[in-house]
Amino acid sequence: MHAMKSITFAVSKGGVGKSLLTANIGAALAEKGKKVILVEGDPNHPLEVILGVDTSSKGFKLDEVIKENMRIEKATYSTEFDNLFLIPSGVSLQGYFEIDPISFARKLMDLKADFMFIDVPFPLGEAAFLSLGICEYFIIILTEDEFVLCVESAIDTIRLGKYFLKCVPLGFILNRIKTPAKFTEDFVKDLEDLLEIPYVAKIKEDPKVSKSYGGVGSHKAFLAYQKFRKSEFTKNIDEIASLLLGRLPKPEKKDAVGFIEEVIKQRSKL
Amino acid sequence: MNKKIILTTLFFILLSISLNPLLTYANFNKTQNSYSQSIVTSSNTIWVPDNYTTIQEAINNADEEETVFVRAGTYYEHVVVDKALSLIGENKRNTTIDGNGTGTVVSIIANNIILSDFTVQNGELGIWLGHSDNNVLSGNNALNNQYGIYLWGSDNNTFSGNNASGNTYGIYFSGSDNNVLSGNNALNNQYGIYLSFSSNSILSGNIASNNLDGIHFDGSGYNALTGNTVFSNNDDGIFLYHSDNNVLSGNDASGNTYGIYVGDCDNNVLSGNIASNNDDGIFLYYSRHNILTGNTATKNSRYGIRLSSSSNNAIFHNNFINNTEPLSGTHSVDSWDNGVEGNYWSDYYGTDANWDGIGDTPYSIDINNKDNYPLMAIFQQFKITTKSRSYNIYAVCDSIISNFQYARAQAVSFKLNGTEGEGFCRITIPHALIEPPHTTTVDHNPPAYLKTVQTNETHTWLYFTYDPTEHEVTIAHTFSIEQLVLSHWTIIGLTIIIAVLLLISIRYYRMYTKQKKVIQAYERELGSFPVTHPERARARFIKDVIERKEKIETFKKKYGIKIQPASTFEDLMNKMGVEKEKNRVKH
Repeated sequence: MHAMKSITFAVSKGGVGKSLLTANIGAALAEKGKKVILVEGDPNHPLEVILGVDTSSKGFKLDEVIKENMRIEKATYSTEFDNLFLIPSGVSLQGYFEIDPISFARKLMDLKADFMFIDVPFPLGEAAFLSLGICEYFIIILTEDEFVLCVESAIDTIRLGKYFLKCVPLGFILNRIKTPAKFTEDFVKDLEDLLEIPYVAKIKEDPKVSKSYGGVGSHKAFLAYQKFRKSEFTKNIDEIASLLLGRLPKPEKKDAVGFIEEVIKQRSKL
Repeated sequence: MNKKIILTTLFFILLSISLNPLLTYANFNKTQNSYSQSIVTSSNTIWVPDNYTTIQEAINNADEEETVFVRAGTYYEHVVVDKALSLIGENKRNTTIDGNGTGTVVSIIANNIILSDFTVQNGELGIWLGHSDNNVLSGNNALNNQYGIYLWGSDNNTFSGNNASGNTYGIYFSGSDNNVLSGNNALNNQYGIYLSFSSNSILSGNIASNNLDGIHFDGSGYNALTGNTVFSNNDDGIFLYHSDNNVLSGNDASGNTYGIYVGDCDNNVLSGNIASNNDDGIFLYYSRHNILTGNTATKNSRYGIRLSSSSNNAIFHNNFINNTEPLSGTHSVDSWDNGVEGNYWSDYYGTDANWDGIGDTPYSIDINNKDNYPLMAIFQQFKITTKSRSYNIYAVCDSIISNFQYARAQAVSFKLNGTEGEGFCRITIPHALIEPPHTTTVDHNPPAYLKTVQTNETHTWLYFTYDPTEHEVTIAHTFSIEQLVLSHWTIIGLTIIIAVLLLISIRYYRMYTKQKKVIQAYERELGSFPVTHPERARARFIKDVIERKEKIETFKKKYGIKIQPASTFEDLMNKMGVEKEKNRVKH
């Protein structure tokens, strides 16, 4: 057995499908027998919606657990999938700077699971410091829409994560691709050279899949990985899950709490 | 499943045999006299401070298999043990390695190391084993660290007689398998002994008290927790969370808030444990398919056993005695008997008109739950071990049974210490141990009342009464010549089966060792972590900016895509939206 792998997706804009990928990849890993904890850092709580979790029953969310110094298990919710758990945040990831970012980091690092995913809201801002600072790995998501912005932002995030926050970039996913012909093998290879990270998967735009997240406040959401078992989307998700199940590069030893203290210090100077 | 259990058991037997020489060595080194014997006669001993003033210097200059002996004193060091040697302190009471409040005090990063008789204190990590196997740690104190003893991906280690106090985590296993933890103490920590995603380990005879949780399992399976004592812990005596397929037997969990707490766990076996004087004796929360048998919950101030959203658990042969409430079960549907016998409830007042030791009416729990066969007296269980195997004998008896023994071939005997009034015993006899028909005597005479309650292919249930004084009971079978021959064939058959299983387990063990070597080679390849500082990060960033410039230009020329990533750290911060965030906060 190995220690927990903590992963976050880095995006440059909203609507790239990060929560959808987080939920579906989480479910794929859970189905393969791994204990997976998803941390909802988005105040619109898309993961809660997609996974259909009612967080009103126990009454505790991560911000309350931190304020009351309770055990994080009190805010860990089962989902309808065995091994897949959700920690609802209560506030946005950004909001933890107002509460207690250090306890936030400590509580998450103390989690016991095979995988932890932090779902970060857009825009990144200081939330990036929290998610990349805490997680050991990140995956870049690029979309066809606003592709230039995506690539530019990817280089920035790779540099921030890799050098300053010691978060290892595992690769990039091309998501919501509408014209696959544009993304030729050569182009993807050049992109790999430019970003200096491997290509992980190309996921085509699929209206069926997009519908699975009915949008904020919707009650019609569902998990595409579960519903469309034979779709190309599900195949892609399985490929990403297999990558994560394999042996990943050894994460750099880092002091997440130290990073966050540094950010707080910088912040107070302004 | 049975095969798996047998293989695992055999594996542990082999493991304990292979660890035996190390254990013997550790025990040998326990006393002051034996130190002088082993050290005076050995030329391969380095002395601290005689030969080197610091422990680290001594280790750096020692060869593999040598001994570094450290005289009494306080050494302010962060020691790294990176080769197979013995590091022995003169006396753990006054041979101290102090981390001065920082870092890892003792890092063990090689295999086959012996560490004994030190006090390791005031570090973030007291004693750290990182991917380090086959070590023996005995008689150490780990005091006032964040983690007293921390195992990270470390297997096949033995810990005995260590004491962890005043730490956040006393003894902490992370992703570490096949370890043996016996006779250790964990007192006054937040978590006494903590297993996180760790499997196939044996925890026996440990004491964990005055912690928040005495023994805490998270995501850990196939461990054996036997004969441990957990008391006066502020929250849980034993806490199992998301942990399946463990065996908890013969543990004593008393005086905690929750004696044994099982949260979201499946397929664990809890047998012969004692949970007394807690708030709740045994608590099952969101847990399924666990077996609870032979446990005794007494004088708990809330519930003897408490179940919440826990179904399909089998709960029988337990004693629930003088708890404020015997049980609480919400949203749970469980089985409270094994089809023949249920549990003993001290508040059951039903009758036993047919004299079989089972109440005539069920013990009602709620609309979905009832014990159909409540026991009329406490349940007691005895193990009889013959040359070929072990047998469980169950007794429902209103006297305390003692001296239960295998009197001779196909016969058992025991003593009854009678209570007031006429006593009774209901005994379950396995046919494999004593074949029917049975002859029962009390003080060598037929009992006052005797009947065979029930018999099936494998067991017979006998019921008899006796007068309220001390008695010796014998239950026996008379052999015929044919039976003797048959029993010999049975023994030969069993021997062949055991031999086959042994061969399979040896093969399994070899495969495991081979796989381990591959992983170790990989770990060596990875090397050590680079040390990074903000200056170094900036330097790496600038180097990247310079080196990637050409790639960006090429990409731009080829695809007409103009990319302008940040070229300074400040620029990067602005682009990441931090400035925006700051303004937002200011407003």
